[in-house]
Amino acid sequence: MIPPRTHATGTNYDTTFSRKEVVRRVRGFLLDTSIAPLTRSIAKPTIINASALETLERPIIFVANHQSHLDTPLILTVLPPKLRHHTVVGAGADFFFDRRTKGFFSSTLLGAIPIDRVRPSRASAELATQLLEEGWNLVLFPEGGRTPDGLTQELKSGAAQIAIKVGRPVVPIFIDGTYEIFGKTADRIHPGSTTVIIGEPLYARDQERVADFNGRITHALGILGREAATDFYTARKPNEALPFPAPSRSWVEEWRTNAHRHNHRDSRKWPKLFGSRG
Amino acid sequence: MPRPGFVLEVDRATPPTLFWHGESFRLERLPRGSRILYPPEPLNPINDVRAAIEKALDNPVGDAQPLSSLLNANMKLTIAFDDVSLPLPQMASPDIRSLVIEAVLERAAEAGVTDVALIAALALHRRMTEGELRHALGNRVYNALAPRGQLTQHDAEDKPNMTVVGETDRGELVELNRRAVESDLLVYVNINLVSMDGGHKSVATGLASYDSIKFHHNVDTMVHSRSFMDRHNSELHSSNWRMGHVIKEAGVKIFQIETTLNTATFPENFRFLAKREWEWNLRDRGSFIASSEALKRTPPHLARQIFQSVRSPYGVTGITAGEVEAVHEITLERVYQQQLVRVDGQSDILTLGLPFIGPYNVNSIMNPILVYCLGLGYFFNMYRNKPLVRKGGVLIMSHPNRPEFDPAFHPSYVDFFDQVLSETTDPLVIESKYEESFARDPWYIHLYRTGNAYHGVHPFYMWYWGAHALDHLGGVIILGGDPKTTRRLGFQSASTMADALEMARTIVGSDPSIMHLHSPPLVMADVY
Repeated sequence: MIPPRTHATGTNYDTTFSRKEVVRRVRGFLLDTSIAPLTRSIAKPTIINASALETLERPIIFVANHQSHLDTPLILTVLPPKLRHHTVVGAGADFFFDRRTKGFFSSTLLGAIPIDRVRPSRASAELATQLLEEGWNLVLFPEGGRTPDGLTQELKSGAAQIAIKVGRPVVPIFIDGTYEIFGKTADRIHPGSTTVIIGEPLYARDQERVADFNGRITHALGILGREAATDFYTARKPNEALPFPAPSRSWVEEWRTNAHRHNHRDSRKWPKLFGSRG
Repeated sequence: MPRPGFVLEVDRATPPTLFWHGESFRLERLPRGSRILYPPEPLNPINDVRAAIEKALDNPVGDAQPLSSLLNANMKLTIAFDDVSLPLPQMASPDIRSLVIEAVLERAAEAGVTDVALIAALALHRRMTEGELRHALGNRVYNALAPRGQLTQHDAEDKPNMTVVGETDRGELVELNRRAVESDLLVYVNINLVSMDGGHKSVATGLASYDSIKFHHNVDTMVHSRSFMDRHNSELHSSNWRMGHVIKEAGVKIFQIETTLNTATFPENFRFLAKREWEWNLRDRGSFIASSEALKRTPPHLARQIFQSVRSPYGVTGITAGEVEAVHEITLERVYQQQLVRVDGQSDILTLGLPFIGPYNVNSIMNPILVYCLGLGYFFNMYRNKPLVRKGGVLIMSHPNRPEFDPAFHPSYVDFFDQVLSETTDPLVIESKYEESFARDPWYIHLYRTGNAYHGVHPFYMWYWGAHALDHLGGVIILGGDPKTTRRLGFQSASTMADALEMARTIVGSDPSIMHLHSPPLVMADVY
């Protein structure tokens, strides 16, 4: 019997095909030969503590701050091939899977799986858990979306919850510099350099509550963020302000930080005939 | 040196005249002896706009001090700005508002003012989308203030955040945005596209509640605003000025920044729109034929999107800052210098081509009520002294007038068209019988506050906007208008100009004088 054709999008989009062996191998080939070199040429990453990745055993949950669409290819680029080829990435179902073509390319090229970032979703959590249990690494951006202004945002607890459920380690990764290259408000890519700092794996303690584990992940990412701005030792001094959650700055500091940026978009060369208005 | 506007008398050698027809054009041959009012050419713009802004902020007019001396670290500063209804079409980036607000914020940052709020002065208009806000303000302003909740849009229905400032001597309630009133300084950044904008109207209307706005947005006021483009003879403005005095007496400190634009409305590929027809060269004729033929074959919604994506290469002709009334008088002079043309004598028939855009359908559909408002409200009122058409005369306006509505932006318009206009088109009856129920409807209020909908009462104001024209005219004909929709508005439709003129003759007599208001760009008649 022929199964009925479905046109599901969003969290209902079925990404099973993208994890079939042949698709996985094609993706691995494309990542190694095109996506990773291209990302390296645009973002010129400096990787700190890369050796931590060498000793990791699948499956791992990678959590990172989110500054740009470049973050996903950048993380896949810095992962060693043995991890990279078995990694799926949690992507906003409302953005990457709102149309079937977008969903197809996101899942084929990057191994994206749909995550509901608007509300806690059982379907998203179950899919992530199942894939970890099958041995896939999972990349998550627990801030729930790209930063609108370059500052870090509060972490949602989904990653901690999944890690406790499957009993696998969380590796925090701090990315610095992709906002300047292609931040949320940028109209084009401005190639530049980035720093990617790999943290030590964190394991949930026995009977640890989700909020507590999420707090530890937040703290670890905070230290890495501090390290990106200073150095290893300064970042670990007690009482240093951490960028998670971002310290509240007044608009004046933001105003001065952005003084050099290109602020006026050019008028569109072509009418916007598709997509939402405004 | 730009050439002034003038009145041309049609003779045998006069080529056909260009009419806007919604999202397309018509070429119409007007009878010999008809007059055509041609707008002046765009004035030369200021070359260094940023320097002009700095100069205006440092040298305010009237009883005002330079902006920098009014700022200190502990103050509460509010900057209000005109919404998406200005300018039309939207200005090519950078929008003049963003340049002015950047200059104001630069000074506020220097002074260390942390308590800054930016408010879009919507009155009862729809909320702007993020894209529209970014376009009007620029990314730097948006990114610095929006994520911190310091960029808001005025909500006329948010009663806890409104405050009663007082009453005028005629009992008009002045109820304004609390944040603006309680600030140590309120800076208002305006764009004066036509002479109706600006002055006390900016704050007294833009930041007011329905309970306050209804004192001047009503049939009686509009019928006695002759015209509302002539501030000194406009009851609408007199009411706003009375409110402005109450605001001033209540101690609200306003630093008004008004800007004027020239009439460089369309980019290079629509250059023929800005030229007089007999000056069209081969390229202009080619562009006209190509664009009008292409538009005929384009579905209306696509043609609409193409036109709505036009960004106008306006040049800035002036920036003035300081005390509201002193600033506005200078602004008005600049607007008149750009738009005013002397016309001798009224006509029996006035013809107009209505474009695809008005103040209330930016990025949206020009529905029949907005067609009515654009023709009988805005274009009819583009006069000083006397209307272009005599009392009892006929207005012929060209527009497809399709029964199309935007349910997200104009939800109450749909019900106004179906429920109110099917009963009556008399503004007085409409005002007394239906206004209150639409204005207080909780669903419209919800859509206004949380979505991008115009307030429930807005279609009523559109109808009142044309009340003076309805009172003055003997008949209205929509050339090329959908017959059923046009009848609902209380007008007649005609498919050709010859038919329209023949129908008009039955009202004004067999040998009528005809005046055509040529647009684009904008022009205002000084009729003697």
